[in-house]
Amino acid sequence: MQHPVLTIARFSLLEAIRGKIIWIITALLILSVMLAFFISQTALTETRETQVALMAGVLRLSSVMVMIFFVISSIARDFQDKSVELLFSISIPRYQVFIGKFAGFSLLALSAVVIFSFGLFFYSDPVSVLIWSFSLWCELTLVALISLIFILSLEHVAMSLIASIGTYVLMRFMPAIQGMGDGPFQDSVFNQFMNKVLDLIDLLLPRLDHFTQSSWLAKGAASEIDVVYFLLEFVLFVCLFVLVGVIDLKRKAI
Amino acid sequence: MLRKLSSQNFLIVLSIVVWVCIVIWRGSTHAQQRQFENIPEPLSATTQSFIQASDQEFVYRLLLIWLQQFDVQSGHYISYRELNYENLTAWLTVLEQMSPQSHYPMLLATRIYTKVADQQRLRLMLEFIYQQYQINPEKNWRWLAEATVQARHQLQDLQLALSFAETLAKAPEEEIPYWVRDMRLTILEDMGEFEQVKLLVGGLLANKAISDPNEIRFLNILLERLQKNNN
Repeated sequence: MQHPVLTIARFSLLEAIRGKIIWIITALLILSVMLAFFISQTALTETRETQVALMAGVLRLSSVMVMIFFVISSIARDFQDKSVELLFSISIPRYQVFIGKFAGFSLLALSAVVIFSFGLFFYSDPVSVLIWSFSLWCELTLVALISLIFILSLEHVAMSLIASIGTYVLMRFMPAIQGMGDGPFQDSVFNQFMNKVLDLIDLLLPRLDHFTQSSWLAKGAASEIDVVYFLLEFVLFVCLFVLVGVIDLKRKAI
Repeated sequence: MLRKLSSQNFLIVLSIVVWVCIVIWRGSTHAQQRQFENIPEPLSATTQSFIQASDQEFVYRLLLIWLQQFDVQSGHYISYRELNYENLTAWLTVLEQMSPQSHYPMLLATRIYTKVADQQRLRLMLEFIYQQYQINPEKNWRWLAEATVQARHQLQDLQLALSFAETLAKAPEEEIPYWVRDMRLTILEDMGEFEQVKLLVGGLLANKAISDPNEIRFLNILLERLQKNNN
């Protein structure tokens, strides 16, 4: 008999495949190729770099949005058709349900990344594509995990979407937001308080500004330090978020 | 059924009418002359830090294309004379800082924006190229070499061309090729400073600083030609 985690993961992935999400991901790749080709036609030099940087940027942002929307709509549907209650009523520990769902979404992220890589191999060297793709998978997995925590905790689609997108913005732009606190009013009490709050939030969220850089594809510029940094961030924050998600789910009364 | 169908038809007709209204409205707005938008001031430090925190290469490429397209607005070509060159050079500086390895902003500056039929704007652009050379001589020497030619022939400012050429000649030998170094000789020759050219060439040949046989031959031919002209 298959382990419950694997069964739940398999069904989550099957749901995505049957819900034609793979077609959406393929369409994203085709659209990004067309868009990058169209814009790069105006480039006077460094056409390949322009094309691949635009493609990578579009693919990254659009796949993150697809992942957030899919995770939240999938769990919201589970709430609506009482699948969550059914899962919690049978003798499977809640942590296994959480990890199963998370593993399913992570596999979906892997499928998306594999599809994108096929397109990118034509524009950049294989090593750069592999590093960029692996980093995108880490980013999508983290985003899926955060969206899963929010929808399970809030049980409200709109609120979960806002919270997930907001958290993603914080993860991407935290250094810039912190930099704003170093402005001309940095000595005010309120500003000092806000800086402390931002520093605290920064410690609770992964730094996605170090993940999935287009320059890795355009210039082959990913260093070993870049890879080690995003890998460590990924491992540490996946552990933290899984623990947070499981604790929250255990406390939940359904 | 007939009643249902007719109401459906009515909705279809209504949709077509609304769409025709949209087409007419769009047509009338296109017909109006859109106001020309000049290049705005470059990004603030805060916005730049947001970009750096995001995907810098992606935003860099988008900004390049956006800036490059400023001379085409609503299907009309705008003369470079109408563009705000202060803001343009400021933008090019920002872009150069964003991706120091890329040659794109320097190519735009040297091959596109120096084609302006306005001496003040051309000077601004040449000054920008010179500043960028000072920041990164190893990368930008070729652009300053082109700027030297433009200062000589387009701007016809021999003094400016000479100052650029002399700056290039001071660069370490391994950084730039001899033909770039020799530009100051040809400009001095154009200025009629034959004695100075002879002194420079003679000095270069005498102190044996040059090892390349082709360069030595070129300098000897130049020296012979100058001596013949003098006689």
